[in-house]
Amino acid sequence: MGIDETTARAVAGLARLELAGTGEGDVRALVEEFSRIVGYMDILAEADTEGVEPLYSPMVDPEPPRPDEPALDGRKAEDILGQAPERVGRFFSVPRVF
Amino acid sequence: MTEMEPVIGLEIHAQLKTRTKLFCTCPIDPGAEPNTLICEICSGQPGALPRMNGKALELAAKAGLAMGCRVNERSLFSRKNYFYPDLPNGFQTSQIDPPICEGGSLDIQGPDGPRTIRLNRIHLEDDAGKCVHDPRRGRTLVDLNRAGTPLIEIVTEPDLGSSAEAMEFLRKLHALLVRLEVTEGRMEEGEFRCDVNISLRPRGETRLGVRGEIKNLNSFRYVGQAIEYEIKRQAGLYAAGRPVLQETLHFDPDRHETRTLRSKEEAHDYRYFPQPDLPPVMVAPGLLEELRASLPAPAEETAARLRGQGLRDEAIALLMDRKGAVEYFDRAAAIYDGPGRIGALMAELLLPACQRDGVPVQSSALGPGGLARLAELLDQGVLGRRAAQELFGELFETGADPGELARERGLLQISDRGALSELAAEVVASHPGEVGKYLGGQEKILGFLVGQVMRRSRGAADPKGAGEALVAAMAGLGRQGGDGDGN
Amino acid sequence: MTELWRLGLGQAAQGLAKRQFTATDLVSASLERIRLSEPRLGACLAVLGQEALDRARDLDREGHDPSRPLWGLPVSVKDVFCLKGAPTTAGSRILEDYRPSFEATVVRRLRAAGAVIVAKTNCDEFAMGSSTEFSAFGPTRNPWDPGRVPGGSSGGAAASVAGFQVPAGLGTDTGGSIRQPAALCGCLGLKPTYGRVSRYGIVAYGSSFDQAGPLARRVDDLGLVLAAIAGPDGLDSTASGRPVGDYANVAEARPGELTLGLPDELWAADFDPLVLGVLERARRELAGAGVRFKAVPMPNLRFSVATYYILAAAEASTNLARYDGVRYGHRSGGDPGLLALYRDSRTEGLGQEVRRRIMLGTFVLSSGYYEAYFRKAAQVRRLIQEDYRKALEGCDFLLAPVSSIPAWPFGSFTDDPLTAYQLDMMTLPLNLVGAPGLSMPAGLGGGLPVGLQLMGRAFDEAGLLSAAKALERILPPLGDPPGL
Repeated sequence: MGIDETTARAVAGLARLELAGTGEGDVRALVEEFSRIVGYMDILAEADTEGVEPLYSPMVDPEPPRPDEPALDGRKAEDILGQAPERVGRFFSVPRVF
Repeated sequence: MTEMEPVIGLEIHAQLKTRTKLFCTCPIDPGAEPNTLICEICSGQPGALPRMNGKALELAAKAGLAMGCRVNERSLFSRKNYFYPDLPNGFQTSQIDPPICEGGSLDIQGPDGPRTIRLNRIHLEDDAGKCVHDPRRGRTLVDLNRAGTPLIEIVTEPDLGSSAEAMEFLRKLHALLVRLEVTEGRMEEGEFRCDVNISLRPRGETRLGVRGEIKNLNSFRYVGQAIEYEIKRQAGLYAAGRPVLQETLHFDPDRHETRTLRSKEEAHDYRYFPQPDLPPVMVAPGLLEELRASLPAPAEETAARLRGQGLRDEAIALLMDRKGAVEYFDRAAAIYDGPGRIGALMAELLLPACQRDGVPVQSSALGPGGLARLAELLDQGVLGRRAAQELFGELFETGADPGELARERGLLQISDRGALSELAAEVVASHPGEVGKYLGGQEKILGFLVGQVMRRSRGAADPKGAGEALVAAMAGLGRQGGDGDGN
Repeated sequence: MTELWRLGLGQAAQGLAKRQFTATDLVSASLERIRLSEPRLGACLAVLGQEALDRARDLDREGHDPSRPLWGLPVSVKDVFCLKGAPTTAGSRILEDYRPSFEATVVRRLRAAGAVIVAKTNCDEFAMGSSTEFSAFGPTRNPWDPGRVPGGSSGGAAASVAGFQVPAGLGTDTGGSIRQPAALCGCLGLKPTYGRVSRYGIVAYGSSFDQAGPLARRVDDLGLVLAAIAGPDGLDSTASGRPVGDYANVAEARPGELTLGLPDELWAADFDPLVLGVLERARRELAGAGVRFKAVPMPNLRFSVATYYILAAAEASTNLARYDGVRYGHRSGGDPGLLALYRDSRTEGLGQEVRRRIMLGTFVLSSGYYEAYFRKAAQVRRLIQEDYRKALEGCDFLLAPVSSIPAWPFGSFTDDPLTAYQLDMMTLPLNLVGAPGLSMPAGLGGGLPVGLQLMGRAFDEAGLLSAAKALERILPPLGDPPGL
């Protein structure tokens, strides 16, 4: 199916992306390209999938659930916190949500 | 104007009683310093992968079994995608189709009699972290300690008709899940919280009206207040001929009112799809049987059984209220077949002592065996009620053998017939005057004679047995004397 | 003595065992080769020189340990593998300054086996691409022609192995990202069965497709590395509990006992004539040695590009949601509010191709399109798996080309994503199916390497290696890249 700019903008919004990219990208060209890519995917309409069970993953004999045993490496928390672009005390910090 | 009836459904989030998070081995502790209980998995680092906690699966299945749900042998986790600072992966891992449990119900005592509230489903999911708002800095601060904590979400059918029914349902559900040890259920910690879906429709109408969803209520009282307010608000809209909009609402407990969080148009597109990092959740038939066997009997059945065993209602209520008390009782009653006496001892002495000292019943020093022995001594008349009360403090502290301790303290009663007969004979022989008066019809004098027996036994004689022994001894005398007189 | 950097993994291991040279000698030689060739190749994003030398010296001090099959051997790893405290960018600006707090399972296993990691290799951003041109940190050049791409996304790994920087490297393959650059650079690459190797600590692209695997210059060396990294892992639930084969010691198959299936849909592609020439010559040589061929139809392969891009992009769109500028990675400057922080951090930090795939993946999962795209693709994936199973019924392995064209000049397809996606046609089916595959050089066409791939049954990596050894003996070696 063809994708119009409204749809493309909505998708970009869901993905928290700027449709036009960082520069003054040509929005119309980007929408057209996106539309072409989605259009190509429509080839799947030709596949006869009546009654076919979807295959979401080819995993075989996966791991069983783990036991409820705590294990924590305290230094890891410090390393993780140390990566924060912005911190207040021991908190990650972001602009106000409300 | 037509009368409107409320239609209410609930979505309850209960935090599962596990030691570790749902997908990593970080411990769970609401009191820990911010961001100390985090690892690469629950903080959403690149390359980290989840590994399911088996205990969480068992607890979810157990909750389902207790409410008659169908527990699916195979269920799936999905990703629920949205951005929020407390959501480290950009998705919550939850179950959509199929969830671990489907169907089931819980019976409640409604204002108009008993009602069955149907469940739609129970599913597993992980909790988000916590946002703290710092108005001074104008920042939102994020603590991920809670991120990844296992939850079950219990979704009811819209079967509830009033705030009273909703609150009764929640109380019943809360008590059940706590008793099953599925959750600790500390509501002030948010371990048991509730979303309410509520709509109005003309009485007799079968279709549902447009609903409001009130999010995240963490007390029974708030649930009641929020429902009352929302019924009034929606009724007011209908009365004014204005449309009720499908919205997500927040309840402000200080102002007792609901506020719009977002409208239907702003509703999220969560883009659910099967979580490729996790295998299907499998509940083997063997595990299901094990869990079924581990379920405690429903409360009504237990109460009826205890009543049948001769316990009084107050004792039953006390036992069922205290965690581990019924199990303790059953063990004691299996050792000594005196359930009535055991129940009374627990209600009058053991449970109050546990309560006072903050000791869980099952870890009291006086175990079921000791308590059974105490009941037996009382029933045999070897130990008096007062003596038992006197000993109990020490028994409770030390867990000493009741028989031995009573002997040490000289509190054992002589109820042996031979010994009592001997004592009675001595007293009769040394008090001919009193005996004569008794035989002459002054029966009150028996009390004095019993007192003499008690004195000779240094208080250890069983007074009732002593009286009987004296009467028997004097009856012999009377017959002999009578015979002599007659010669 | 030959130059140490020329030695394959197994040869170097023997030399170390016989005390002909030390681990420090070997690692130093590798680092020296990297120093000399990097200006030309650009294969590495980070060279762990001092750390590698320290480790080699430690190993020498401890003495040779025959129980550790990779003792003292230098290897490179693609920059998608987490190394604790070392840069791990996945070729993305958004992770430019990121330092993992933990180590990928395969890295731990390589180290436990005694390997010394000397470099982290370049790749397309988040492994999305087939030319390594989408790395945020510059291109990697093909050792056979510096004007051409090395393939991708594990282009740095392939160039580092084919350019003799290291005897073996670790890459990842989501839609061909090991096999295709190996073919375009003239080395070998193995994509194991999905679940054969733990994905823990590998920056994720498509979770139900990603597999780590080795690139090397000899079949035996692929087996040595696979033996060290394969097997279940308590940290990756999707890793399989199936028993691990003796990959380091496989017998060579007899060509006369091999029947190879030729998937019609892959051999009917529109080939570059030079590539076709090499492929046909290779088939004649194999037939001459006694290998039997059998044409096999796999009708649903015509859907494989669409199926793959829908499913992998969907998974990627949510795997990459964590790059939001909150906990780590690039955060946009300025402070216009949370929504803008998300949007600007991601738009600035993620490259165009990555954003393209996130858009596609977000779209196919969104309300109203899920059934027609995502679920439909998952159903077609089942059909392709079924085709694959049937194709293997009458033969031992499948044999297919890896790419219809040889390494291409830079910039050929960067503005034509759809054509670039269609070029992945040969390699995608294995990832959809989850089966193992191995690509190896078939010869040179116009001075550029052309590859062939063997595809096998799930968890039959040992069989695959054994057949590849037979083919390795029959097909002519490529020789050295010019200007080595």
